[in-house]
Amino acid sequence: MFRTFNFFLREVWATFSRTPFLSFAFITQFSVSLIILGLFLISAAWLNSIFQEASTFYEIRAYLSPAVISEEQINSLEKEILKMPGVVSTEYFSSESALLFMKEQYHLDIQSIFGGNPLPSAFRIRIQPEADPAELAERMNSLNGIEETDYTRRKEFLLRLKWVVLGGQALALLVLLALALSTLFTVINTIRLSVYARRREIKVMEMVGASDWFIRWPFILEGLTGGLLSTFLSLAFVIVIFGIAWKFARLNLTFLPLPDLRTGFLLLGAVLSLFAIIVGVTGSYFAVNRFLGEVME
Amino acid sequence: MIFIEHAFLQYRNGTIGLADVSFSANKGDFMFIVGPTGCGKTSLFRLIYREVVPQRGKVYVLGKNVVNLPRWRVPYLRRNIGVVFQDFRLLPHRTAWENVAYALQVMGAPHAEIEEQVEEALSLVGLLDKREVYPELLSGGEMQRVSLARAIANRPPILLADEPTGNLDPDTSLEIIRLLERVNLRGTTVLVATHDKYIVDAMAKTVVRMENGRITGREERGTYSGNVQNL
Repeated sequence: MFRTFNFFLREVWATFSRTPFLSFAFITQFSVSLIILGLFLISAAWLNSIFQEASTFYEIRAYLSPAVISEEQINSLEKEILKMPGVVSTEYFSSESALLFMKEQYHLDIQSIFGGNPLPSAFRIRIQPEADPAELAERMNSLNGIEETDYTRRKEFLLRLKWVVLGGQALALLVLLALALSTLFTVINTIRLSVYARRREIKVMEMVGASDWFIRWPFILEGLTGGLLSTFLSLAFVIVIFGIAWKFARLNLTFLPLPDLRTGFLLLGAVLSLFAIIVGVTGSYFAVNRFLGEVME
Repeated sequence: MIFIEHAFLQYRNGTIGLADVSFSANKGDFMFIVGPTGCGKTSLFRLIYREVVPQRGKVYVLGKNVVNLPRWRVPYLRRNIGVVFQDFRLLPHRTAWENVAYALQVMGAPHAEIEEQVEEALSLVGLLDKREVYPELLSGGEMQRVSLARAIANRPPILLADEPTGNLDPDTSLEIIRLLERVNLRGTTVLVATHDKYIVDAMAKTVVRMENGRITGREERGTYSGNVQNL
C-alpha cells in the first residue's frame, strides 16, 4: 500500500518535472481562474458587509439651538439622549466642524456666501434597528436646546437601499455562479488537454495490465497538487491586492466600515481550496475516464 | 491455452474485423499469423487480450471465458499476456529500465523482484548496458527489444507480437524473431502476426493464413505462401 502510494507520488513529481511547460500552463490557467473568483468573492463580501452595516443602523440628527453654546449644556443634552432606550451612540458636531466639512468635502465656502456660519451644531445619533425613530425624534425634540430633528429622509433612503442590497446580492450570486462554472469548465478543459496529450501512455498502461485505478491515481494526485498550488498562488495574489486596497480605504475612505481581513482571507482560503480540490480531482477523474477502455479503430 | 470458436467482430464504424474465426493454440506453440493488411490479424490479437469483445462466438484464454470477463478483471488477464507492437509503444519519458519495470510495478511487485526480473529480461534481449537510455536515443531494433523485454518481464504464459519486424531491417528482424524463439523455448506460447515472408520461411514454424476476417489455412512447419492446408 505504502509502496504503491510512494510510486504514485514519484509519478506526480516526475510528470511535473518532465513536462514543465504543460504543468506551468495548467497551474497558471487554474490560478488565474481562481484569482478572478477570489477577487470577486472578497469584493462581494466586503460590499455586502458595507451595505449590511449601513442598513442595520438608523440614524437621527438632532440640531441644537444657537443658544446652546457651553460645553456643560452640550454634555447634559448628550447624557439625556443617551439615556433614551434604543439609542446606541451619539457623536457631536460643532457648527465650526460642519463648516469645515462642507469646505473640505464639497469645496463650499459657506461663510463667505452667507456672511456668517448658518450651520447649526448637531448630534449624530445611532439607534438600534428595532427602535422607532419617529418616537425617539419626538422625545429629542421635546428636550430643551434641541431645535430640530431629522430622520425621515434617511429612513426612506435606507428602505430604498434595502432593495438595492437585495438586488445586488441576487446579482452577485448569479455572477458568482457563472464565474464558478466558467472556472470549472476552463480547468476541466485544461486537465483534459493535458490528459489527451498522454492518451497513448494510458493505452500502454492498460496494455501491460494496469488497473483503471492504478492509471487514475497519478492523474488525480496531479489534479489535487495542481489545484492546491494554484490556490496558494491565487490566494497570495488576492491578499496582496486586497491588502493594498484595504490600506487605501483606511487612509482615504474613512467613512467605510472595514472588515477583519484575517478572517476574510482564512475563509476565502478555505473556500478556494475546497473548490480547487473538488475541481482538480473530479476534472482529472473524468478526463482520464474518457480515455480508459477506448478502442482505437 | 487459447480457444476461439466462430468469433464475429464488427467495429462501431461498421468495419468487420473478424467474419467467422475459429482458432486454437496450445502451451508452447509458436505460430505465425499471415495475411494481407486488414485480413483480421490485429483483430484476432485484440480479441485475445480483450481489447474488444466479439458480437458472436466464444473466446477462452487460459481457461477463462473472456467474453463475459468483467472490466475490472481485464488487467489481471493482461498480466498473463505479453504484447509487442510494430510501433513499440514505449513510454517516452521513461528509460529502458523504467519501461520494463512499469509492467511489474502495475502488479505491485516488490522492488527486489522488479530489479531481478527487469535485469533478466534486459539481459535476455541484450540491452542491459542501455538500461538508463531513453527510447528516443535507441535504434528501432533496440526499441523493439525493450518492448519485448517489457512483454516478457513478468514471464507471461502467452506472448503476442503484432508485426514486430514491420519497422526493422531484415537482419534486425531475424534477430527479434530469434529472441521470440528463445522466449518460446522457455514454454511461452508465441503468436506472431507478420507480413515478413523472409522471416516466416526462415523459421519453418506453424503458419496460420487469414483473409477477409477468416482463417483460410493452417500448416505445420509451413512457409509464407507455401503449401497451406485448406480448412
